[in-house]
Amino acid sequence: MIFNSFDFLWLCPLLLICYYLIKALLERKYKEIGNFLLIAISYYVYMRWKPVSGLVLLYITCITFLFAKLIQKKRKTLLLWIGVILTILPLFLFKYLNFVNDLINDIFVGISIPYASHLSKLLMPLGLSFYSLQALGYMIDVYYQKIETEKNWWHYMLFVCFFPQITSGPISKAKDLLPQIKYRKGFDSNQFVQGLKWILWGMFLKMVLADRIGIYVDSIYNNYHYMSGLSCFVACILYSFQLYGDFAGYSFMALGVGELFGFELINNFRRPYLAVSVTDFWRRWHISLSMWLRDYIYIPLGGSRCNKLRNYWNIFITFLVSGIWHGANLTYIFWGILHGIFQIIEKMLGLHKKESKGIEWAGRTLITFLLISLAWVFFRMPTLTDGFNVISRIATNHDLTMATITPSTAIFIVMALTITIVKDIMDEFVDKEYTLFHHKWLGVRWATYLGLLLLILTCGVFDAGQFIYVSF
Amino acid sequence: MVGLFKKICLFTLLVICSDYLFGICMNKIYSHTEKGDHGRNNYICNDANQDVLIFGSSRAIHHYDPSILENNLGMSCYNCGEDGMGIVLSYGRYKLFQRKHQPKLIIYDIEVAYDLLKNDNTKYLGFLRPFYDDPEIKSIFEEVNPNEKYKMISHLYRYNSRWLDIIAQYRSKSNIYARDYKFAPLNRTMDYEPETYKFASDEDCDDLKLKIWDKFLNDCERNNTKIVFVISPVYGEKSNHVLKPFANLIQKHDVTLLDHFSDELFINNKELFADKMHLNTEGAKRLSEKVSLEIKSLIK
Repeated sequence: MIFNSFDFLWLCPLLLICYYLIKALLERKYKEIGNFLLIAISYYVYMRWKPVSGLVLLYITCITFLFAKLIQKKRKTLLLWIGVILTILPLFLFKYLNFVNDLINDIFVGISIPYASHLSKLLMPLGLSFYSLQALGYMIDVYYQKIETEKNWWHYMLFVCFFPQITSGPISKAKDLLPQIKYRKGFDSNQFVQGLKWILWGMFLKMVLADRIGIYVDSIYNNYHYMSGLSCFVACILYSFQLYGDFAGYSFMALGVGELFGFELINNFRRPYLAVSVTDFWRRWHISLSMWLRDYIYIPLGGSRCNKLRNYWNIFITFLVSGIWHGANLTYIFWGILHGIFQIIEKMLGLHKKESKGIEWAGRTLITFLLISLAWVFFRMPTLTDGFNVISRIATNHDLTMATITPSTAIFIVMALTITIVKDIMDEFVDKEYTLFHHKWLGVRWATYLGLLLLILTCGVFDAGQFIYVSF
Repeated sequence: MVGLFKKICLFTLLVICSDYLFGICMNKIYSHTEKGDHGRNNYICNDANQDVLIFGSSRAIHHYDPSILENNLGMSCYNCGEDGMGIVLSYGRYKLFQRKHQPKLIIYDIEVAYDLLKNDNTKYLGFLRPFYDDPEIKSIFEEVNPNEKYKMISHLYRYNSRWLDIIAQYRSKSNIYARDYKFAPLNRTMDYEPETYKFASDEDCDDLKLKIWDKFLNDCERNNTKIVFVISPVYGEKSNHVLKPFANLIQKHDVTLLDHFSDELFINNKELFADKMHLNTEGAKRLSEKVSLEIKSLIK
């Protein structure tokens, strides 16, 4: 379900009412009715986009459920590998086959050997990268005996298809989500209110911050050849906030919808731009993916319990995988490599563990933010050449003219940025009872809710498109 | 649970009251805005009564000087062109305009991207939102996006993204009032070699836009308003390709098309262009002269 769509506004309350009503009426007689309903809702919502994609979801669920059972019985590495290959097969076919084919084509053309294999591009099912990793994680956990296999098919099915997280995560771990499916709590009004707060803040980030900035950033990046170095630099900084607003906005809304239905999903974002190092950044940005990569790539490779050189290699490979996961394009791979290199350098200099305060903290935070923003350029641009061109324009074009922006757009952007930064700084440094959403005074909390809602209605971009991460 | 329900009801009530109050204030301000693009919009939809109207996108508002057309045609003229807008807005403005006065002539500068091709039509509704209560406008909204009727319940949404500009234009100290506004000439000259123009194919045509065109032309026929299509010059383009669905429309309604897309008086002269798609002040003056004389000979 696309959380910034009009459909969400009517469908979500309707589903909630049906869910709690049917649950209240029938749960005594049919204990599992809540879970069945959620499976039905999840598949309905998912298949609304493209019905056939439901088959891919079902395939991933079946394969991982079956192989986890086989692995539990005979703990053989070969079985795990077959399971892994079969699970990532749809991901490879839909996401990477064309990319690999084009790469081979380029290589053959480069050495003047005719190669004419043209594949028609398959439309990737929404969220395939996310639920494939989640299901894979479960199977690997069973192999490493971190968890028992799930005996109840329906519970496992809901674990893979739970609709708030299916399109863009968070990538939940079986040990966190499955117990919540098994032992359902009753309606909790505090959790419900918390869910509404997450949705409100997520909507603000997406509609007021990300989509507003997106209009300006697109106008610069799409015509960067004609833009000044200053304009490109401003676009580079603003894109960092656009991506944060877009992805964190989605994740907070997913978290919120999860809470409305009584689930606690993992929080994917913890004020990432207040990180003091790139290593710290990855503890705060897309946390569920970072944890997945740590548990299933970095640690199996040897993690940090090995010699330094091997450790650097492990970091490099982990972030190379992260780049590849983000998209079938050399730009993402280069972006992943950049993050790997940044972290290796930090480890060499011992910066990853160093604590900072005051001006040192501010300086490190700023440098980290600038490094991350420069790396995002490659994440955003369609080709590596475009990425390097933008960076070179920032470095070599000293024209100080700015791309045209209407005063109202500039005010909207500055206002949204200010609110976001102030909230993040308060959440980071101020006691919870004084933060905007959890303030001990009811008036402050209500003023925050009302203010944000009115800002969404008056300043939000309503006809913007999709979330950026949905395409991954 | 009861407590939560009460709180949600109270909060909803607060939102409704704020929305309503904001709506009252903005309606008042909007109706008194006389400057800027919202002042123009307000003027076109509520007060204008000229005999000749110019519609279209940025190529209309930057290319046609109404005073030249007034001199050559001997009729009052107003330029209703708008940056990045096309037939959806133009039709809405026409419907609101003709409630009080029937124009004798409409000059429509065609820009395929906004007037014919498929894209998100909701973005063309912005200027019409303050006039949503008019039944004709409501029907346009319904055709473009049926969900809009639910969103339009909120008064805040009606002024979404535009309220700040409206307030600024309402308080503007400028002495150019919408009623005296002519057009927006571009005072610069293209000093680079632009990329080549990408022609769209017939399949890219938007059925909804074609349907609105059909309604627009039927209304003009019914109200005895003559309509002339103009295609402005594009720098460096030696030949034009009129999309088939559009050619059919012209034929069906017997509309005159003045195709200056590859007019050699313009297309090779950078001095007349501000950028590839837009003429500058001098270019606009020449095009206004040429088009007005052509129309004069047509309506004789």
